[in-house]
Amino acid sequence: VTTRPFFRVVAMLSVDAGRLVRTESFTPRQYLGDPAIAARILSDFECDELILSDISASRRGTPRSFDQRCLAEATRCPLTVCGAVSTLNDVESLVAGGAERVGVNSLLGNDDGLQRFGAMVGEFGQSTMVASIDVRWRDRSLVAFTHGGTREHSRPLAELLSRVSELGAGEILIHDATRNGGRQGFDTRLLDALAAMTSAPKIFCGGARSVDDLLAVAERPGFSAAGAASIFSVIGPNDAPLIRYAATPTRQQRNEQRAHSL
Amino acid sequence: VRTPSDRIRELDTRHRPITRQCRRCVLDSTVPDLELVDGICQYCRTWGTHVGHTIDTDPARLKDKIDALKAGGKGRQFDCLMGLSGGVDSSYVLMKCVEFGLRPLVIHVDNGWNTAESNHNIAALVEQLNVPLITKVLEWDMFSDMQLSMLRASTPDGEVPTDHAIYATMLSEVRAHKIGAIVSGGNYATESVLPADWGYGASDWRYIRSVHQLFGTAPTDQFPHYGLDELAKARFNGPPTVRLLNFLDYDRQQAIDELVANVGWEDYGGKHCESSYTRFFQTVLLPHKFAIDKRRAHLSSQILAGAVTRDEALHELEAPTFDDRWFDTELPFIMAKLRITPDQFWDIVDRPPKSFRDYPNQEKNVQRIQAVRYFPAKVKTRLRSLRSR
Repeated sequence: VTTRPFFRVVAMLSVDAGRLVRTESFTPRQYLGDPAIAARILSDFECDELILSDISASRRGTPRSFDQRCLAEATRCPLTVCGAVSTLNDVESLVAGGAERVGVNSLLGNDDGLQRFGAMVGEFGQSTMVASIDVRWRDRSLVAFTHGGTREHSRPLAELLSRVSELGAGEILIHDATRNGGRQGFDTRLLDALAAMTSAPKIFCGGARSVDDLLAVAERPGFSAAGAASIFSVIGPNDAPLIRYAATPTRQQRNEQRAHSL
Repeated sequence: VRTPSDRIRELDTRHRPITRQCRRCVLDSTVPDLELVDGICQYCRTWGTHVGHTIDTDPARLKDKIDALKAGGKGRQFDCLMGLSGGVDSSYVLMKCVEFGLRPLVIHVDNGWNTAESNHNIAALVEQLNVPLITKVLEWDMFSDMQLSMLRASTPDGEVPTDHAIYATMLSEVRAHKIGAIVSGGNYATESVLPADWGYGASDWRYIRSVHQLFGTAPTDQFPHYGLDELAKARFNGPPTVRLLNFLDYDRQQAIDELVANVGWEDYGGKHCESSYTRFFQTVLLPHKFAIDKRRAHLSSQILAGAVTRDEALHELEAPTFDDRWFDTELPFIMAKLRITPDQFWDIVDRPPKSFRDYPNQEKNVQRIQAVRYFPAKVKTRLRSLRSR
């Protein structure tokens, strides 16, 4: 389907105090159920990757409000976990608990935290550590945020991006905080700007309206994955909760094959 | 080595030997109140005489039903409310309703045990048929506590909290959207035989609540429920439930083929296995702990409807109810999801079976409501059968 076979379509899950929620601008809007069953369903749909963010973690100061054992039992696809990860121990326990990769957001907010992120990369390797950065437009320039889009970063975005690449982030997860949960389509101006700022591998999410939006990102240089939450978790004009990996190429192809064989 | 599946199958010895068997269907002495007369059980003898439980494939009758639903929906946003689980029955009746030009509101109750298959099928139907869907997601911490308390109560009613929540949700949606009727996938072709002692309680909130008070901890105020008064109101003055499949020549396999061809539905085999809890409950716990093999009821229904022969049914029953791989692929997840240890799981399995009668309940009153409500129809059916004799 795409000329870049390793491009991944990622399902994003937000967890608030153990409950799976749909967010708009990072604010919980709708209860979607138990995160573990969502992970199981998405795994069975042969989802490329799951990124689970515990959005309540930094607010409550307790990491991992969800049941880690259950999530690990449920998940059968690559899993990245984010949320109030600040120490080497946090990373270790998440990896031991079944996460392939660990995302770090709030920690990147200051120089001391950036150093610690570097130490995590040294300990667990590039392939484990993901730097997660939230971005918003202000006038005509992009501003970096941490703490789930609530705290503005003191450095310019371009500088922060190159800093985390230097520190060895395996990938940079970039979240369009403005369009989060809005389903009005990706901000292509933002995608252009990000591609110009850094060539490091990036995961982009925030605002996907359809799977086509996600696949269109594959055509751009420097993006290794694109993610979405709403289109995989609600359906129809009433936004009825329904977890699925909607019309991804694999499933679409399978259905076409079936249609031909009938 | 004694494997987990040995441990499950050893439970069968509690219920052996099978002493009696109906000559016409495949019910046997695992049905505690089986009454054989000339070797024929009461379910076979009374088949086709239950109120509203008939198959009538006269196209005129179907048209009457559809027209009545349309007339009832005049001036309203929807003609009927329909529950959708993603299983064959509810999927097929929805597809048919849209084909007949009805305007349903579709409701899915998510009890936390959905599967990729169920969700794929719900999405396929909703998108292909372009029908409005609403989902009621039960709070998982609360609902899992209800479900676990029912398992600890050791009665064969592990699906009762789900069934109760579904009907409670439907009643409140009917009220909220001023809908005149419920169209259900319930059908006489595959569900006419259901032994009375095989399960109880879907309408008995006192039973569900008292079991939860004994074995649960989480608050239940968010649990969708209805008491006796609301049950009576629904039965006497509420929306009628129309079992539309009883007016079609409902054949399960043909229904699956149509669904696959028309909406890209997926078949995953096994009745009611659109949920991993249902699969656990109906294929592992019920048949071995309680000697309730639901396949016997479904196959008996199909024998009486003429869809399968008794020999075919007996052959099908020789297959094990579950696949041994289930212990590796599903059980660890189920235990993790219910937050129980293997010891707690085996404790649930090994507890001696109990009945709802061991707990506070309001069976008498639930029965009274049903009896009074269906008395006139019962008389009518009786008169009709006397006349035709």
